[in-house]
Amino acid sequence: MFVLHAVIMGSITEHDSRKRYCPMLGHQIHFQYCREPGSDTPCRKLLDCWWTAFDAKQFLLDHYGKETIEKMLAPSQPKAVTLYDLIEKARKSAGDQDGGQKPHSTS
Amino acid sequence: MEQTKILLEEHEMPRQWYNLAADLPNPPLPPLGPDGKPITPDMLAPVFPMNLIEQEVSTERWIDIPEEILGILSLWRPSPLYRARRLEQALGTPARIYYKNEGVSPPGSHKPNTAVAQAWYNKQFGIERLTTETGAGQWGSALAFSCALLGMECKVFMVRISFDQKPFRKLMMQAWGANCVASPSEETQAGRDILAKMPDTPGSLGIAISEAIEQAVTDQSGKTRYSLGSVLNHVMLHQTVIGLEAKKQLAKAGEDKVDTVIGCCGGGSNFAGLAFPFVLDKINGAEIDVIPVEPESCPTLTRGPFSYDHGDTARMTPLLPMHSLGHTFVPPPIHAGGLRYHGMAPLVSQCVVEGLMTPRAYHQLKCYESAVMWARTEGFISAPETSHALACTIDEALKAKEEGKEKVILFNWSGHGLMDLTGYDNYFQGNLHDFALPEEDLVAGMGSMEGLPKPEVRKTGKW
Repeated sequence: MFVLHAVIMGSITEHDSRKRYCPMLGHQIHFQYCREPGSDTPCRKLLDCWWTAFDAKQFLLDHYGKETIEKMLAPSQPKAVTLYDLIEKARKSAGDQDGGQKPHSTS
Repeated sequence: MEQTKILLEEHEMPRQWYNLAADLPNPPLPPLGPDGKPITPDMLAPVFPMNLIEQEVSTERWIDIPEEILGILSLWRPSPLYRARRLEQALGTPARIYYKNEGVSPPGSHKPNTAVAQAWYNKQFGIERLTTETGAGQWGSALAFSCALLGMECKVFMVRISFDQKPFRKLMMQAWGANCVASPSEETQAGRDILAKMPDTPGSLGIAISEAIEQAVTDQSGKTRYSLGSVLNHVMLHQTVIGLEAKKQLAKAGEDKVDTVIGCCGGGSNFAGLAFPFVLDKINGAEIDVIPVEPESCPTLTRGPFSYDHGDTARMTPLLPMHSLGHTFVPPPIHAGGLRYHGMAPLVSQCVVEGLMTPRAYHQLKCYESAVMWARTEGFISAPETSHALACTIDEALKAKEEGKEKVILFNWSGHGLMDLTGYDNYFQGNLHDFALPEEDLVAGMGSMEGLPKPEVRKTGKW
């Protein structure tokens, strides 16, 4: 029964060889990258980019849990917030490495 | 012989940038940080010099362009305004179609308009090195070019998958003296952490930006900052040279008004650059359709695993043309274009909320069809992003034909596609299929918009 369900669902890699332009990176990529874009969820634009090529919504429902999909589709935060978060993270990381000393202050 | 290019002399270049923040009735609110307090620009001082931070928050309508920046921009500016007569003839339209050719810059796009400015302001502040992230390399090469001309160092973290697939842009950066490394790299803690967990990762823009920021923040000399090519206000500001030149050129061409302004809209910078000077006219009463064009967004929204916290009244949604879906009813507003999409420039977003701009989405098949028609009429081969603006321009020109109206249409030809021909290959091989959305999905999508909480929007209601 499990095997039959898996066959009906299709393999998670079945669309990996499809290719299209990635509006984030600015060049052609395979669907495999959209599935595994160097982060812990598929790319947040997967649906937007692929819904005209195959049933991308069903693909997500077949292969990912609710929590992953919701995390993937959560609204992106404003750029300034992202930059601030990364600044704080870098400062903390540098502070940890220097034994708590702050990096040289910027002019 | 009819004139095709409308040119300006170098001394006719705009001497000031236009700042839309001075005229928007409800300028965007500062975003909130994790503690719920506003992120103020001075909190970004570790990565941006204070002179750029001042521009980021300025409400001055006009900001002087330093002579030295103008001197560098004059290597390719003023960019020509073209009349697309051959396209007009092919379409049989009474519309007059004009476009700014931003592909004439050394890196081949509009991006150096801000890269040069940012590098200059950083240098004035005593900065010697700029870091950034890049995917395919459009932005990275623009910054590398700018740093080379100003004698500054440039460090580019290029997403690994792009680093491997786009060797030519990497070489462009190297030709301009930049140090371009694949991200994630061993050069930062952020990179090392990712590589420890996923040594074979293809990388991402998120990782690359983490590395670029870390290098800027942790540089002990204090002489390194970060630079970005889209979204933020000062980037939009620098790009307004495009629209300001276009106004002068249209006047030279004998046009006393423009009906439609179109540009492709990813992070918003090339579109804002062309459109903002015309948005000023619209705020002051001119009737102009201003259309930011985006890639397609999925129109189906269902409850359950997909949850959204914005409704459609924010008008953030690009309207998908009916014909591209092949259905006879208008699909629901696709608020996913504002939500699932990566960050849009706040100034552009606020214009959409106010009704000053009406976004539109086209899927890639239509875009490549338009780009091929463009190549076979006007001759230029367009960047994939630029092809979205072409698709909309052709639609508007055909609409003018149906209406029998002599509309003036202006769009931004933001860059050439000579480094991006593999996309055309995909199109020519017939690999851009159309998947027909089940009717019930679209109907369900419309129903799913009901009951969603409406966002708080700040708008005058005037447009």
